[in-house]
Formats: sequence, structure tokens, C-alpha cells
Amino acid sequence: MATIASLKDDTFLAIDDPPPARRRRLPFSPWHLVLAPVAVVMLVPLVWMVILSLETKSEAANFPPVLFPSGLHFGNYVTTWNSVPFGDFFLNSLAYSAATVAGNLLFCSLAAYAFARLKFFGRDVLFVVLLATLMVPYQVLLIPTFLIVKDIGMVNSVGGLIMPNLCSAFGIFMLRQFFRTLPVELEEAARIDGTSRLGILFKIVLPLSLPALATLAIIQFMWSWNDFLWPLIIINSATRDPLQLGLATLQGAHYTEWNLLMAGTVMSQIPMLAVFLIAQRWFIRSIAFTGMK
Amino acid sequence: MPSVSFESVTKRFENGATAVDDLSLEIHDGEFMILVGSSGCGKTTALRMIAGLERPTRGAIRIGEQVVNEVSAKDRDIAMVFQNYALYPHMSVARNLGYPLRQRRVARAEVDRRVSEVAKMLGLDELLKRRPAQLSGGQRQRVAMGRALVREPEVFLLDEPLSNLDAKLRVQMRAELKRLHARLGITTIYVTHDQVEAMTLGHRIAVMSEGRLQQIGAPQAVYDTPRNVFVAGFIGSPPMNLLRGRVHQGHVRAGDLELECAAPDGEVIVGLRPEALKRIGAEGPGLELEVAVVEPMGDEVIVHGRIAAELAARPAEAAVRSSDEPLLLADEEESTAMIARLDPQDRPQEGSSVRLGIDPAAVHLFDAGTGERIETRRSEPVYAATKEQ
Repeated sequence: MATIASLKDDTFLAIDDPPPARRRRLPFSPWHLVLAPVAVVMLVPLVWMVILSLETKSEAANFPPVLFPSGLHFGNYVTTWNSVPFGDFFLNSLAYSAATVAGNLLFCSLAAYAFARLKFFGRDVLFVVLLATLMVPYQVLLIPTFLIVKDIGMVNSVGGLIMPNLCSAFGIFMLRQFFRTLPVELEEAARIDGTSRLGILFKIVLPLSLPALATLAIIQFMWSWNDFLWPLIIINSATRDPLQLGLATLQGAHYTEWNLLMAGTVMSQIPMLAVFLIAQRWFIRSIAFTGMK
Repeated sequence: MPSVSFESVTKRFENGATAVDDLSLEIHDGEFMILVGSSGCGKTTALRMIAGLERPTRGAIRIGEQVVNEVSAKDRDIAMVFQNYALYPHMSVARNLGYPLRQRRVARAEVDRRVSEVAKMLGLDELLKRRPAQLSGGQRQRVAMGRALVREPEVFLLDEPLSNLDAKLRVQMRAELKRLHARLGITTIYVTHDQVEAMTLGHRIAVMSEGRLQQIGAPQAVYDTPRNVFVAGFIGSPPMNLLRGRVHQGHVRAGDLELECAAPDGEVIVGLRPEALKRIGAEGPGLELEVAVVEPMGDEVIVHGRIAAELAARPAEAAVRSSDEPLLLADEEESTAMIARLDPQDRPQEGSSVRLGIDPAAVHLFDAGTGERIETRRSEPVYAATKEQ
């Protein structure tokens, strides 16, 4: 509109402009209105679990549920610990989870690197087939897997428990996607510097992939730690039971002491929290890392 | 130090693109060779084939006497500096520098000795404990150089190593590179698209375009006698002015310009370097330049303008055209963009017109069909003249 652009004109324009409409701002992001109810829905079972674990036997069995117990009965935890070989369950679970996490980190990264960087015949087709296996429900795989393990003669053994879970299609997929984001020049430089393919994976690629590895470790740990179905099928001696099977023994056919069961469940969740807290800084960095060259 | 040679090397990628086409080239023992060309001309692919990062589709690559087509990158005694440096982000500078030695199982004391030696040579002593992320661009570049030098390789490959640096640092590193080569004498192959690096750094330059070698020679020789239009237009900054012209009975004519020459009759392209043009007075033969933009550089003035460069063949062409058809090419044909490099005291006004004389020795002729250079006998008297004469 102004034919001669001058500083003066601009200032007048600025003054004449109506002030920007001042909107009433919420003290929080509008998204919170959606997120907060969802968070409540997620939290209720957890909170209830903790409440139940602190109630008396009759309060826990009461209907309608008692939301504010008469007292905090921490003794439930001691009772649970002593009534079943909780320590053994715990160690069994730890061994199972640690072994599958280690196996996944190793085998998935080997396969993922091959899919990400090596050129071989049928690579992409094979990868699609691998992804397709993610669609097959676990229940469908359960029986064939059991039959294979039985044929090898590993039923009711720690090996039979661990072996089928040492590598996962999901882990391969996740790591492959991450490996492909790493600058290929780093690997070329390493090749020229005299590093073998395996050396490149272990000395260059994996140290740069800690965020992805941490993520996979958490996911796998969670999965193994909470796994119920596979141990249930393959293990049939109480001494080898992992925690989730052990907890099930607290559940009677006719009567369940809910307060004790919940106390056991709360205890069983502590390691997962710990793993999450430890791996969290890598977990979060995996997003920050994408902005870096 | 060995020589490196390409023997009819062709590289075709899986998508069918030919990056390098029948390249034959020998880089002598201890030579500093520059591969230059615009992006996508195959120079980097050529370098990567020497490094063993790409395998030639046809032909042989030799390092020394050995054909290395099937030798893996780690077993060729070469080192490479990447354009983006490719420093290992999770290792300190010291570990980055020592990495190639550790991979070759050199004793730790020896690794330490050589790392500190290279660090001293490149001024990295203070930075040994830092991670690459904590370094400036110039420092990263030096670490990348150091990592390549620490192994004392037989062949040293550099892929546009200075392109990520600012102008001042680039000048500094250029001199440093030259000094390093003089001191170490390693056979060096250097890929760049930068004019100045190409002209100043190497013993010889190899100009590439579309996967083919266009010309190879000492930088000055390539500059003075470009073998074809591509080289003429590519080497030199600002680039050579290329005008369409025609040779007829010992005279070449391009617009106002008429020169005597010893070339066969036919369509030609006339090449004039910007520095071959000098400002002259109103008298005497010369070209009329309509000045559009003047860029004072301090020691010289770059003048962009247009000259009336009517083609000799134009009247005949115009006759063929129907009257209502717009002369789409009229603008291009009636005047041609031209760049001149003048002395600061000859600086013209923008919008004015100046008369430019031509240094006759600096006129290049190329075949308009093939683009190949036409040799003119320089001993013949060559002069610049206006059309009227």
C-alpha cells in the first residue's frame, strides 16, 4: 500500500494495526486434557494392585472393593516371600531374561547388520518374509515351537526355555532400521583402516547404536520377564519356574489370597522398573541421536 | 611409492548408470594428481575404485605392478580422507588417529609414538583427548588427514577434503597439503570440483566429464591449451567466453569479431579467456561490451556484459523462418554474455559500454560439431578487427 517504503511509514503501520487478539491461555497444553484421562485409565490397575497388596485378606476379598484399607499391612510382602520359594523364582526369571536379552542383542545385531549393509541375493525378499512373520500370532507358533524343542529333547530344561527366544524378528527389524541411519562413510573408513566386516559391526556400528540396543534390551527384558505362556508349557518342575509361573501358584483353584498375590506381583515388577530407569537415558537419547550427524 | 593406473576401467552401477566410462590413466610414483570435474562426472567413483570401495565393471586397476580389482580395501595399502571426514564419533582424537595402526596390530608403544608424531605435525597435540564432536571443522579435517597419514600408506586418496571448510581455512589447508606432499612424497590422488585447488595443488590434473577423461596434463598446460570445449569452459574462473562463429577463407568471424586464422572453413566455437580482453580507447579494432555488472575484486575487476555477436549464418536462418514465428533465439543470437577481467583503473560504469581489445594469442578455436580443439598456427599474424574493416 505504501508507495515509498520508509521506516516512518512502517512504524505508523505498526501502531495503527489492531493489537493481536489476546487468547485466554490454559496454564497447560490442551493436549493434557486428552492425555490426563488416558494416564488415569493406565494407572488405575497399578494403583489398585499396590492398594490390594497392603490390605488384609478380608478387605481384599470384599465386594465392593475397599479402596482405603484400614492399615498398611506390609507384612503381606514378608508372608508372600516366605510362603513360596520367591528367591528361586526370581533368580530363574533373571537368568531367563538376561539370557534372552543377551541373545537378542547379539544375534539380532548380526542379522540386522547383514540386512542393512551386506549385499546378497534375495536380501530384500528375505527381509519382507521376516517382517511377515511378525504378523503370525504367537499362539500359532506355540505348538510347532514346542514340538521342535521336544524333538531336541529340551523340554523342562533352562535351555528349552531360553533357546527359542534368543533372537526375534522385531529386534532384527528395529536394529536394521537404526543401522541404516548410520553414515556409511564411517564403515568405509573402517574398511580402509583395515577392519573386517565383523570388526566393523563390533567396533564401529554397535558402539554407535547404544540407544537402539538399549531400547531393544528394555523391550526384550520386559517381554521375557513377563512371559507366562512359554514357561508354563515348557517347564514342569517348580524349581525351574520363573516368577510369573511362581506367582500363579499363589492362585488357588477355589480360593485366592489376593493381597498376597498382589504383594508378589508388586515385587515382581521392581526389576523392570530398575531396568527402565537404568536404560532410560539411552532410551531417550535414541531420539536425540537422530538429529546428529 | 607405487604408481596407480586405470586400464580401460568402466564402472556401471546396478541401476544402469555409467559412472566411469573406459578410463585409462596413469598416476606416477609420488605424483600429486588432481581429478577434477563437475559433480556426477565420475571422479569420486574413480577414487573409490582405487580405495576398493567400488569394484570396476570392466578393466583393471593397478597399484604398483599388482592388479587390485579383487583385493579388498583393507589389504590395499591406501588411506583415504572423506569429504565429511568420517571420524569415529565414539573415539577420542588419539584413538581415531591410532585406529588404523591398532587394526594392523602394531605394538602399543609404536602406536603411541606415531600418533604423537602425526599429532605434532598437524598441530593436534592439545586435542588428543577430545571427541570429534568437540572439534571445529578445521580440526576435524586435520584429524582426518592425520588418521590417513599415521599409517604411512603407499597411496593417499582425498575426496574433496577442503570443501567443508571456510574460505580462509581452505587457503591455509591448501598450502599445508602441498607442504605435506613435498615432505612425504606419497602418491596422492585428490578429487575436487574447485578450480583453485585444481590449478594450484597438483603436478597434473585430469579433467573428467560424464565418466570420461577429457584431458590430462600439467595445470598450466590444460589451462593454456584446453583440448575441447568442455575443458575450456570448465578450467578457469571466471570461465572462458565461448562464442559461436564461422571460419571462412582464413578468417573467423563471431559477431563483430573478425580474426585471421589458419583453420579449415566451417562452424566453430571461439573461446576467449576473460583476461585476454583489455580495455582500449575509441580508436582501433575491438569489441563493444554492454556492461551489466561490475565486480571489483581489489586487484582486478570482473565485468559481466553482453556483446553483439551476430552469427555469420544468421541471415540465412532468418530467411527460412516464417514472419509470424517469434524469433525465440533472437536475444541469445544477437547478443552473447561475456565476462572480462580488467585492471582496476579500467573499471567501467555499469550500464555503459566499453571497447575491448583482444590479445590475439589467447584466442581458442573449437569445432562446433565435435567440440574438439582446432590447432591454429600461432606464428601467423592474428589480429582483431571490427566487421567494417
